[in-house]
Amino acid sequence: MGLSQEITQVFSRYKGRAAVSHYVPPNSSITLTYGQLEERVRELAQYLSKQGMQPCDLVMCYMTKSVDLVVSILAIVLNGGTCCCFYSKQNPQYALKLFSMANPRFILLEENTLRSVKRQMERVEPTHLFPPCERYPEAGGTGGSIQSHNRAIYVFKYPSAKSDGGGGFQEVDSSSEKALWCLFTSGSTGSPKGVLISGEDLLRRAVTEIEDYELTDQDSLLSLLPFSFDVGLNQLLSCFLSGAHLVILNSWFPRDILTAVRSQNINGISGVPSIWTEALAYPKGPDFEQNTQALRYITVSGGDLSKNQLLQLRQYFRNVKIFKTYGQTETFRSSMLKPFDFERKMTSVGRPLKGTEVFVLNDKGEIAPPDTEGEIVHYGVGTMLGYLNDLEGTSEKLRKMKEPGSKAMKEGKWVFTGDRGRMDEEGYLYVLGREDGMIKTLGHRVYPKEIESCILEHEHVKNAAVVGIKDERKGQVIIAEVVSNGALNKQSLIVYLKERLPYYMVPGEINVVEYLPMTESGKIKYTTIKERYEERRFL
Amino acid sequence: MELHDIKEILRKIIGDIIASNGEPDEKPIEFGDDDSLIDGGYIESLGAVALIEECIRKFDIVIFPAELSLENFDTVNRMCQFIQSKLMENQQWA
Repeated sequence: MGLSQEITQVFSRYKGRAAVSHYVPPNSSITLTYGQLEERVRELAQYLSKQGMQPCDLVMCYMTKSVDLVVSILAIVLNGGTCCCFYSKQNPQYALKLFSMANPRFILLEENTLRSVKRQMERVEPTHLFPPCERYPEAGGTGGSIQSHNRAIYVFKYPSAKSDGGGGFQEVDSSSEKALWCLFTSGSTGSPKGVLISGEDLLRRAVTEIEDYELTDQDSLLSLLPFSFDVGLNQLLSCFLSGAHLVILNSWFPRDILTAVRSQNINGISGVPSIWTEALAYPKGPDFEQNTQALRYITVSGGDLSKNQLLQLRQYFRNVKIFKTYGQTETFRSSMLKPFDFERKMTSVGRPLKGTEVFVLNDKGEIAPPDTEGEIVHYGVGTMLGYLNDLEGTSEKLRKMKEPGSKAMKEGKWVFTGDRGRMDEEGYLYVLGREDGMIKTLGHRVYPKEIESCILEHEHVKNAAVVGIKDERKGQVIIAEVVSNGALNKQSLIVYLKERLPYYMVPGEINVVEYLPMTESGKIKYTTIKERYEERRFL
Repeated sequence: MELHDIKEILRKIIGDIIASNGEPDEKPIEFGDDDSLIDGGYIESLGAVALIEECIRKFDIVIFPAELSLENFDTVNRMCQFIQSKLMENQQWA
C-alpha cells in the first residue's frame, strides 16, 4: 500500500480526532480534526487536478510552516505528485533559483511569499510579470472550520521554459520507484541540491520512526523543524500515519516551547542541537517537572552536542527519553542512539538503524578495523533515489558495491556519505566530521568537531564553530568563532585550550561573536564563516 | 523615549535583519506593525537571536530568557510595548 492510501485510511479512521494545530503562545491556536483536514486536502487536490495537475507532476510549496502548508503537502501526495517544499524565509532570489532548478508544474504560495516572488519576478523577468494566479478556495468557498485562519493558498502555474509543456524533470535512473518527494539540502555545504525520495522509502522511514519513538494515536508531537528538513518531514509523516496530533510552533524560544509542552500536553519533540543549547540556558521554574510531565521523549538530530551539554541535557530533562540520531539528507537516518544506551555511549551516534547497513570503509575500500577511521557508507532504508537533474552528482554519491566482506554484488546502491567516522567493537558509530571540512595543519589532519567539542566544554561558551583557512606556512590555519554565554575572556579560553589540546589543534585565531550563521534547520553555515575569512585574507 | 521613537528604531532593526537574508540590491520588504514576524516567517527562528541582540544594544536594556517569547516579540507593536516597559524599569532604578 502506498503513502496516499495509508493517509486516506488514517483520515477515515480518526475523523473526529485532532490532526494538526498551529499554536501561537500564549493562548492562540487553531486545530483541524482529521475529518476537517481531509475535507480541505480533497478540495485542494481536486482544484489542482482541475487546473491540470497530473500524477508525477512536481509541485513546490513556498510557504511558512502552517496548517495550510500541511494541507498543501497532503493534497500533492494524494494526487500522486512529487512534493517539494522549502522554508519561507524572505529570500525570493533563493526561491527563484530553486524554481528554475526544479522546474515545477505548480507553485503554491501564501500572501507573503506571493508578494515577494511577484516583486522579484517583475524585476528579474519582466516578460513573466506574475501570471494568472488563482485564489483558493474560489470566492465564497471557504470552509466554516477554517475561517479563523484567514490565509489563502495561491496556485501559481509556473511558466516552464521547456517546450514540451514542462513540469517534468529528468528521471534519475531506470528504477521503477518514482520520486514522491524532493528535499533541497540546506546549503550548509554550498549550492542547493534536490534530493529525490521514493514514496516507498518515505513510508519505511515513517514506520521505523513510529516503532522507535513508540508513537500511538494518543500522542501529541511538537513540530519545531521545517518540513523542508528530513527530520521535520519524517515527524509529520510518522505523526499522521500513527493518528497522532501534530502541534506546529514557529518559535525556538525556550519559554514558548515550555508553554506549548504544558498547554498542549506534548509527548514528543524532534529537535536540533541549537534548540537544546538555548533550552539549557533557560532557568527551570519550580513547576518544571509538573509542566513537562506529559513529555516522553526528545531527539537530538541533524547534528550533535558536546559531552558536557549532553550531560546537562540529561539533568535538565530528567524523566524524558533522549534519542540521538545521525544521518544526512541523502540517507535520512543511518544510526540512532537509544535512551538505554545514553549514559554509556553518549558521545557516539548509536548503532545502525533497523533496515540499514552502515560500514566504515578505509582508503582501500575495505571495512576499517574497529576504532580506526574511514568513510561512512550507508545502505537500505533512507537511501535517496538520486539528485534532481544531476546524473553526475548522483553517480558520485550513489554507487554499486559488493557487500563488504563478501563477493556478492548487492542489489541497490550504497550512499558514500563523505562523512568520516569510526566504529567501536560493539558496533557503535562515532562521527568525526565531513571529509571536505577536514583541516590539514602543520602536517596533521584535524576535524573541526574535535576542537569545537573542547571549546564547548568551557563554562562561558554557548556555541562554537571551527574552520580551516588556507595558509602558506601551515597549510591551513585554524580559526574559531565562539559565542559567549556571559563573561568569556578570550585569553583564558586560549589558555584553557592549550592545556587540553595538542599544540597543532589550538586555534590560531579566536573571535567572540554574537551568533553563528545558521541554516533554517539549525546547522552552522561553515561556508559563510569560511568566506568571511578568506575574503579578508585577499584584501 | 516616546513609543513613536521606539517604533522607528525597531522598524530599522527589523528591516536590516530581513534584508540581510537577500541580495543587497533587493527592494525592501514591507511589514505592518501588527504583522506576525516570527510566526509569519519574516524572521526565521534563529534570526530572532539577532533581533534580540540588537534590541539589547540599541536600547541599552537587559532582557531575561523568561521574557523571550512570541508574546513579546512577534509583532512591532508588541515589541514596542515590551521595550517601553523595560525602559521605564531602567528609569525607576536610575
